[in-house]
Amino acid sequence: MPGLGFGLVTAAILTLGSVGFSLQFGVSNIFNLAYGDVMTVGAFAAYLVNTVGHASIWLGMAAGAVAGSAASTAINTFVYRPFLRRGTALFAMVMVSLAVGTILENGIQAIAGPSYRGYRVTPEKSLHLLGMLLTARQLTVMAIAVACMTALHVILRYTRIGRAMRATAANAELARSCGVGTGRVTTLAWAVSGALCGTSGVALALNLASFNFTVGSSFLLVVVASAVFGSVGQPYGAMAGALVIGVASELAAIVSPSLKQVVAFVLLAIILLVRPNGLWPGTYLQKMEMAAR
Amino acid sequence: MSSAYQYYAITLLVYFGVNTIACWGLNLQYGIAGVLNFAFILFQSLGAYIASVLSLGPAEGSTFQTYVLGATLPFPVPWLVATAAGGLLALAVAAFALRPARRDFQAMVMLVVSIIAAILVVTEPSWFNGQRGLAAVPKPFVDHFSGGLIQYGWFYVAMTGGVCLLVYWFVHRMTGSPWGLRLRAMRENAEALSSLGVNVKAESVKVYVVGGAMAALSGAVLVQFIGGWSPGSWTINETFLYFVAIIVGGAGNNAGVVLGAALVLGLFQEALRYLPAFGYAGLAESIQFMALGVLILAFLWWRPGGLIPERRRTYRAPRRPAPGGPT
Amino acid sequence: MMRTRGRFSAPPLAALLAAVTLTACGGSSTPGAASTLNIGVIYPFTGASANQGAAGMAGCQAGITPVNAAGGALGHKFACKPFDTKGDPADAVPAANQMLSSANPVMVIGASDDAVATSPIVTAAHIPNFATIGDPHFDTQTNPYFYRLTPSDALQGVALGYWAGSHNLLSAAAVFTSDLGAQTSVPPLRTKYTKLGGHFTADVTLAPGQPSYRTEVQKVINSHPDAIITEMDAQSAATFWSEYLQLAGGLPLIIGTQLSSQSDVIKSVVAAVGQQNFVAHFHAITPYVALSGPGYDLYKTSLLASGGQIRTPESYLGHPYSISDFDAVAITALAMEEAKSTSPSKYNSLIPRITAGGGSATVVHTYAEGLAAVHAGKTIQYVGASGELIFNKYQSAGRAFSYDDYDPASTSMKPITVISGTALNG
Repeated sequence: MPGLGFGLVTAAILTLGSVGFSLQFGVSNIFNLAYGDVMTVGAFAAYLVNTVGHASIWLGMAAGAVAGSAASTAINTFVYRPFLRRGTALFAMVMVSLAVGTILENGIQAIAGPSYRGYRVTPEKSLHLLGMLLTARQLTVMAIAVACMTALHVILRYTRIGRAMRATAANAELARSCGVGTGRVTTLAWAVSGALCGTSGVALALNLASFNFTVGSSFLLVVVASAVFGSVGQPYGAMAGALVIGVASELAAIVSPSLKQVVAFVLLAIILLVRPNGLWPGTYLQKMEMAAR
Repeated sequence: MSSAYQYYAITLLVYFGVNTIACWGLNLQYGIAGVLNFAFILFQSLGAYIASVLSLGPAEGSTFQTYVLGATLPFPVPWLVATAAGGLLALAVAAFALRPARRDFQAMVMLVVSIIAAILVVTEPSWFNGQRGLAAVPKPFVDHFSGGLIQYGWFYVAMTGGVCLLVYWFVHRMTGSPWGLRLRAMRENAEALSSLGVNVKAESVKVYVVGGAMAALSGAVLVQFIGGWSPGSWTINETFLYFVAIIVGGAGNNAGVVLGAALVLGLFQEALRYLPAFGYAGLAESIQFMALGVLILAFLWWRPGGLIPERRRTYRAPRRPAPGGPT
Repeated sequence: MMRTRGRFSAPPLAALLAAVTLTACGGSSTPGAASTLNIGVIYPFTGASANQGAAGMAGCQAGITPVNAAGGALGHKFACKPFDTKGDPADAVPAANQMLSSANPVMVIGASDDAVATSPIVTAAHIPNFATIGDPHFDTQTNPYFYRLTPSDALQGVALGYWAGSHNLLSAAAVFTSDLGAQTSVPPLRTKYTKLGGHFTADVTLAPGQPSYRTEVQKVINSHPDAIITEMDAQSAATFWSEYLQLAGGLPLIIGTQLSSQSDVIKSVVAAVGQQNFVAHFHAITPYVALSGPGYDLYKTSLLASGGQIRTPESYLGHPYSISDFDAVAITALAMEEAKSTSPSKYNSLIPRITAGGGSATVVHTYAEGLAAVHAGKTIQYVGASGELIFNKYQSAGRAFSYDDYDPASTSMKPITVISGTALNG
């Protein structure tokens, strides 16, 4: 089953991306369309460290995570939060995030130019594992995704700050009245999700073997699809969504390669029809029903 | 005016007319009724494709493109069929996209519909010639003009203007009618409206259909002027730019969105073209896009209601001195 | 996906006003004694095809350097003005109109795929238009102001089929992306190749820019072809070949096209499969450019000297668009000199004659040589950086093709065997 192997690699990259996206949406309620471009920032940060700095790609990936985290936090602190404080409607925030994304994407193009780049890595032989053909690098990417998810799970489940994050996502006002410093929690959530975003950007560029300034934004919609599939705002739902969409689209490709992308989106459409509010609605739904009124 | 300037002016005016029609359609949906149609550009595109294939002639006669429904129908049949097709597609999509209860999830479904449609058109070149798109779309009545492209261009401006007037008359009546009032009520508080016995879902479907038909008409007018249409013409960025135009101009205000169309889709983009070239090739263009992003932020920060905000509609209560109040 | 940049750009009054004011001042339309003449370079400069614009500007900038150094054409210096089509006909139309009204160009370079939208506008204004479009739509076009510098995609297909069929490759797989020449190159490739006794084991069309092509790769591997004939964009190619290497453990003989020899594609595929694999397995059939000779040497020095305007000029050293755009500038300037006029209606008809040559024509390789010969009253044939560039009656440049190997020293494809134009006609 080599198909499953590639599906799992795609799912690993998607998981990193869509969990980060979901976390941001959960705590801030912002549909952040600049997310894909922050992934690109991560990919380019890794490129600098890897090719200019001659460091290993894994050090580059760490740099990508730091860059993604810094960019995400800055965007939230200096753009989104002031707009929200000013009373900008949530739909208009979609426009704000689109504007930020446009500025980022073109800023990267202005600096880096339109040409395609690749990381400095040596081609490697693939390993046979349970019938799957995978390279050591792809296995490492998957291991990193699993490690990140485990760490996130531990933080959300067992630490004070994680509980505060979940409380903020469930109902920010209630959390505030219970003494949770929601501002600080939100900033931390953006920093964590930004790190996931940057990491997934590097993983994506590494798996694609070649990338330019559009790498993140062209992947954004699959990320959003996975997040919505598992009910956006729910990190665990996003993990499930990424796994289903990543593997299903690769397996579906065996039947008809040209409709690979369509399969992913049709799956999402069906889920939305059968369960209009995603796979894993939970408390988030109640909150949004309130907000919609 | 030299002919180059005239032709440039013609292009700007036709695009302005087309964008105005589209903005009125989207304003009806978003500005008046408060429904988020993130697939708006899909309807404009369908209109463009339908008008193209109905005037290109049978596909068998073409050596370089493949498409469905090839025919040579007399003007204005392609425009009318395109408009109807836009309404029909909107009806089909709305029945499906309005299933989720929340407006932002509805918007997500529309976004997905838009993307699936774009992928399908690219992967099925037999529909509308795939990624290459349709080219050499004939222009209506062009044979009657011996005076060349310029004379014909001004004629096309007049035709576009005529369509604009017609559409304006239509949207003006719509938004001023009791139906328009119902739509505004739906935007402000859908639950309250439905408690008054109004079928909110049915109203949303109607708005999708009317807006979709207008979008398709704008696409039909545009494509017979340009002569070509490809998937690059209708990315989701286009939908967002229409939203920006409405927000800048003033959502809910038909005059405001005309100004928005002129400023955002027109003046701003064109003015940036006139910046002197500097740096390496492509740098000026990416700075242009960055400037567009800054423009959006500036407007949402300083004038969220737009340049011409929607008129506040208040209905005075019957005059009666308040009990115990000062008289 | 958000890959392609939108259209948009449209109306308004202020631009109109600007246009009216400028005309009222009478400034731009009547060039003075030594005014600068503009060359419009219309290509995508933003979005997924932004590389085309960069290549076009590189060719134009390199082209004007020797012309201006020789004192210009009829004393006028040249300048290159970029105009962005954003890779979309709906944006290309206003860009073309704005170019004609604001730059008042004496010649227009571009577009590529967007030429279906821009060329009718440029040629209607009676301005020579040098396009690099492969679309067979233009194979039999008759507009005297339109010139095609690149061969038809159909001819590229024939050349691929001819080479594969005449070099003992009994079986081949075709791998093309859906947005490029797949619709136009593959049918003639199939016809020519099967006529010469070859047989297709797999015929795969890829959706560009996917994160993985595993299924498609597996399909090709399972069909066991002697060679793979392919055209993909930079990102799709890198993904496809790194997965191929991973699944098959090695690479077969790979024959690419003109696009496969462009620097961004080479760079990304080398990064994906390693230089050793690339040298051993990747080849291309491209329009023949000798990459040597006096014309090319001048191109090379002019291009490398234009570092201020062009990013990484060295990456366009082997770019067929840039090289032929370079020649287009010299040809047009020479046509102006010969017509003794900067009015397109006067010099346009001389453009094909500058390259056609014939019996007694003096062969010149650079603008300066051509200028001296024209002033001496001689009939000239310009043979520049791309070699002989002869326009047929539909004004497409008839070009030979070549079979290229990768040269790691110059990081570009180097021609090894020339495939003459006559071999392709049969």
